[in-house]
Amino acid sequence: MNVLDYLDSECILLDVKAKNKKAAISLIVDHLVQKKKIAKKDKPAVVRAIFRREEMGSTAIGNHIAFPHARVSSVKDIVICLAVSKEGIDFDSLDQEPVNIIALLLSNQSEAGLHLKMLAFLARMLRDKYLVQRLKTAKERPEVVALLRQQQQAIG
Amino acid sequence: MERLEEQITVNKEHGLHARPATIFVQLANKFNSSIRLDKAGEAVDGKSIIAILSLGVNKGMQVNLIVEGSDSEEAMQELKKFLEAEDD
Repeated sequence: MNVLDYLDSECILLDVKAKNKKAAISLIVDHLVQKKKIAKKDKPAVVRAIFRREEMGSTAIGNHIAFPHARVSSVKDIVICLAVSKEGIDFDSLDQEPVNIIALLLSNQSEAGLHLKMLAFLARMLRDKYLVQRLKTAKERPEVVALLRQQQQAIG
Repeated sequence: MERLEEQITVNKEHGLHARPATIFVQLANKFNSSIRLDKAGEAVDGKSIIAILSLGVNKGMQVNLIVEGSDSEEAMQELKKFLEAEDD
């Protein structure tokens, strides 16, 4: 599996500033609209789907990471956006800690298998606190891409 | 300290994705016992959501649940029941 097949480097956001979960998700989805990963008209439905999932239980699962995700019909296979916040965002996390890494995942409804595989793969990469720390301090997109590529090689 | 280990088939509709992994860890954290989940030789901390997620356990896969501690029997019983149940 290669995350970089699905994560366009234009969808890496560094130094995101948002005061809470709602603002962060809205900002990320706006970015995806701007980069034409989703159509503007689909934004409300996408945001609604993400929040419906959050209401069932926060995807900020601890370790300063959140995986907001939704299965929607308006995207082709999988769209990922990786957002990094240096200060941390109040994301209603299960361990009450602020979130520094948000990996937002949108997948087409027909891609259930790929969706779960990608979630597992992202978890496999991000369970490494060293990587989280390095991502947090990354200054440019190519640095993030290089870190992710390295980590993928390390975990195989 | 009693150590228990059982092979369990995960029957959750979509495997151990984010929500069931979270519930599993919430259940696991009720117990004092240390809990590990092993899939094909890769063992992870059963009290960490990201660790459980990273195993990528799909429906029908077999895992070994390893529980060790003073309340290992109750922990094994409850966690096994959860993993074997179909609904998530």
